[in-house]
Amino acid sequence: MNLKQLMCLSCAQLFAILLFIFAFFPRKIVLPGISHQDPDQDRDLQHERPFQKLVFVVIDALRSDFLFDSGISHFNNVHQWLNTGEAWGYTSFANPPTVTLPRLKSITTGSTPSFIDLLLNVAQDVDSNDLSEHDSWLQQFIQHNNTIRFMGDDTWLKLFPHEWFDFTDPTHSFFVSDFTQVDNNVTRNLPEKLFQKWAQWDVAILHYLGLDHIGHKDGPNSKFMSTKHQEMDSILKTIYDQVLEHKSDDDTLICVLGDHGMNELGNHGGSSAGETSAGLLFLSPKLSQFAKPASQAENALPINGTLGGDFQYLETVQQIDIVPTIAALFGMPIPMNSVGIIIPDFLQLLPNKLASMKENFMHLWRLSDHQEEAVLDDLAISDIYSKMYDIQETLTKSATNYNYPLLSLAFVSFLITTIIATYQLQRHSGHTFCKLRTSSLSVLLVSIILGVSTFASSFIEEEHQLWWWIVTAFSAVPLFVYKLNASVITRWFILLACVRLIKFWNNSGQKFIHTNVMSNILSQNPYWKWSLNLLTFLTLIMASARSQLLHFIMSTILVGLCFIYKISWEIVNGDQAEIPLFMQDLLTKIDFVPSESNLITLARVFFQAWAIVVISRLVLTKLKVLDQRYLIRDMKLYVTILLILQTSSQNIGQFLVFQILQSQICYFFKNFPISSSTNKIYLSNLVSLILQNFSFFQFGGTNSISTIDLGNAYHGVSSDYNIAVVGLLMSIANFAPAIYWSMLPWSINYGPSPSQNKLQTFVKSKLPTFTYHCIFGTCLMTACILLRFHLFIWSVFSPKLCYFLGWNLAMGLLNGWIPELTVILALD
Amino acid sequence: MSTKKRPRKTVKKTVSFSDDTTLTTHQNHEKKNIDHDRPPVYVRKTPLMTFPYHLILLLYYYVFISSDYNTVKLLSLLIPAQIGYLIFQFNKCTVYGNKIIKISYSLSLICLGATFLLSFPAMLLTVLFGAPLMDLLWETWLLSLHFAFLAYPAVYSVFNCDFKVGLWKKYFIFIVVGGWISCIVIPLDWDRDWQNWPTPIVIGGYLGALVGYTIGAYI
Repeated sequence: MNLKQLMCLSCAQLFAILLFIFAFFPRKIVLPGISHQDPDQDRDLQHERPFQKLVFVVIDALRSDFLFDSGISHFNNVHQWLNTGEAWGYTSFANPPTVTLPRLKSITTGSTPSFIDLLLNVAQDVDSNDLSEHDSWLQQFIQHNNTIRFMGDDTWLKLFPHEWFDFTDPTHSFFVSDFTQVDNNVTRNLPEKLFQKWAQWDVAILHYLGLDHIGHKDGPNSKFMSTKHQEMDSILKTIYDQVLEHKSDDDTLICVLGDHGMNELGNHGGSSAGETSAGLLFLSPKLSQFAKPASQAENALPINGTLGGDFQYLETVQQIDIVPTIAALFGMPIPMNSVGIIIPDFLQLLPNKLASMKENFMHLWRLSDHQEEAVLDDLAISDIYSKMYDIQETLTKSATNYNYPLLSLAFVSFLITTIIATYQLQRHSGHTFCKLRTSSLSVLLVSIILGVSTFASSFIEEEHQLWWWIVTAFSAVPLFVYKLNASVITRWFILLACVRLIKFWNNSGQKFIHTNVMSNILSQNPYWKWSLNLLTFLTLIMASARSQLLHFIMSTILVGLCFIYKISWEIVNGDQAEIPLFMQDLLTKIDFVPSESNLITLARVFFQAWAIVVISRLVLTKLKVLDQRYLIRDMKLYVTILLILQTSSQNIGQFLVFQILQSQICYFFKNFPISSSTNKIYLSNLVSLILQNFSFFQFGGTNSISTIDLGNAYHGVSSDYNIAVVGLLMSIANFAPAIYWSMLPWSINYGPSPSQNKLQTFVKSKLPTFTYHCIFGTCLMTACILLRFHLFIWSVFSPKLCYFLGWNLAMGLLNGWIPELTVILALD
Repeated sequence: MSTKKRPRKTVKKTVSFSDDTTLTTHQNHEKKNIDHDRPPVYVRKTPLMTFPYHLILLLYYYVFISSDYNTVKLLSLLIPAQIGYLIFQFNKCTVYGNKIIKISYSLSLICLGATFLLSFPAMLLTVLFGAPLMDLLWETWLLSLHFAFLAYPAVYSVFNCDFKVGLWKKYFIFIVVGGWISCIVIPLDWDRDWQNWPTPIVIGGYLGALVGYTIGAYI
């Protein structure tokens, strides 16, 4: 097998994965057209509509407890309104995936999202997002000649045409490190565009992003959270004061909601209770004339916690129920694809509540493909409601159809690549095909163990446990392979202690969240954290001191830049007090003022310096100006510095442990008692693969979309960002430990002897990882096909499929090929 | 010390990731003069005699009869049972040279202490192999005590032949491997009582010991 064949095989594999994903993620059947009602009836309903104006305030990631819980909420005015009955509060269930774009689609059209929307949330330029032809309550407002004004997250403008809005002021949603400016951009328009011109608009949509950004950056218990709550609360208060002022002219409804919640880390995308429980609040002076919702009458706000911390405060409604509720309250027909149900408390406000309810029922009835007419006349209200809930449940679950021919084509082509890869792995490992070598056998064994595990959703969620399990098994190997003497045993103990320390660093998975983990301990003791980080940086410099002088100077400059950037970033985005004083003095000594713009410049300087150093080093080595012997070691160091820049501060210390662990592993490989070079290549790559996955999970990664780290994707990126750059930085940030360990086999495989055929070694060294991905992928695809009606297919299996694509694309192809081939080419 | 000086090429090495070839690798580290079909100290191949009946009973009690998976109570039952097993079964099958040595009660008492002390390095290893580092230390120690006392007959034999001859490593390895395999049930989201730390590992260790003492004489 040569390089070309391997390349073809890789491309075929990637193509099969992409085809599978394309076929597997179903796009929903959306009914075209817009709901209409009889013109006379429409006129009556419009005439009698309970509210004339709507202020729709979306506070991104407003979890239910932020509104209602006494322990965390600072929405003091809201609590007061809830107690007087001017506001009605609910916990709304946001269907996963809990990311903004699919949620907005649901909130406006009333349909449940499909998983593909989650991916489109990242790649936002796809035209399937256009809702201008689809029915939504915005569409209905437009049909009824209402004026809509919009300010906030620009996702809305990707969904709805600009012409619908009388006034727009969009803000970028992806620049997460900023959480004051995004909200001020919305608030600044309020007096001028809304309050002073009260008569000129009917619907105002405000989308505040700051709270979500705080969550991403610092978690739900961030110190910025209380001021953000108070800010949002006071904004609601100013809007409500205006509503009271214009009370005599028209009735205004303020609808405040979170599009989704957040988990304990402040991220979202998955289906945990925190992520799916968003707050929902209806606010109007008119509401106090009617009976409060029952649970609100029983409880005085704020509520002190819920049973078992499940975030279910007051009544729980489906978030899509907002759609028919708004439609009914504004005398409009229910949007075509809505599967929502009018919130029962609001029936009392409607001029003809029985008719509205019947319309809602008939709407669901038609959506669920019932041909015959339903007989409702002799049913009580509660019966109709329970029937509607039944229909809603079946409707939200269904609406998936698969492209089976495409699916099987993708699966079969993937299976063929798997067979070829396994055959090649076998062929290279021994003289005869049937003789299973330990190395290729262990590759197959690991692949099969992991592959089989994909059939259980909990093993996918807790994949880190499986990798740890394999790591412990492999760390016992030296005891059996090497002659035991004091040195080997000491090294073995260090190795074991290192992997245990890495395991101790972060929580991963969903089942066990320990409070006593290294990253928490370090976050609580910032002095130790930064001392450890400083030590890590110093170790990197010391490692380079043994090499050539030029390299030592270069790496010192890079490490210095990286270190200054990391502490300045912490000062700008975190807490200045957390940085030890002597490090702050360092900044003043070099006259560097940490500010948002200086940070961007500094990061760009780092990236440019890094690129210059790496490229010149490669070119000079190729031209034989610099010594070849140190190239691999030095390149590893440069890459490590880049990875550290892309790592959160509490994880930087792990690289110190990595360095120690790597030196032990290299020692064991150097004294490897097996002479066959193929075996050694296979084993070193298997060890690298295991450590890549293990450290990926111990950096806090999981198989859930919600733990994708966005905080480190914006180094050196200003607000007019380029999505490709951010994507690259995001991949490096999330795969940083994996990239580190993927470099492990370089120094083991590419020895100093110039006679060695390095390209052939490269091809061989790619085989174990490639075969692992093939076998694992075959199992995962089989699991996805067989379990396509499983309860967790969208929340567990589909994200894993995306991660699998990410591993293949970012780690397997980009990182696996480009850096290593560059180094080999420079060496040859 | 002679092993250190021995030139490398004379040692025939193999790589193995499974424990069933322990002997072959073990062979290389031991002195050459050991005959492995008939080592000076070995366990007789008498399946009915060496079979650890008490472990089955204890497991049955732990899994099916006791409702709360009380690890302390199980330990209090294990220790006398293991002593009994050593005296009446294991020691009677252990051949030293050509004869079977009677149980030495003083040595078995010393070994009880040694086994107790063994639980501390066992605990260190358990933590290194992934037991919770800062929480549940009491449970982890109980687990290590179980592991240590499961190996008690082997510990006695090691003491009895002055740490020199005999192949006792396999008994320890079986217990560890049993515990290692049983970890696999921990991540499952079944929310059963027996998934709590350290119950599955205790059961795994027992099963490993059961297999070890049953087939230990044959490998």
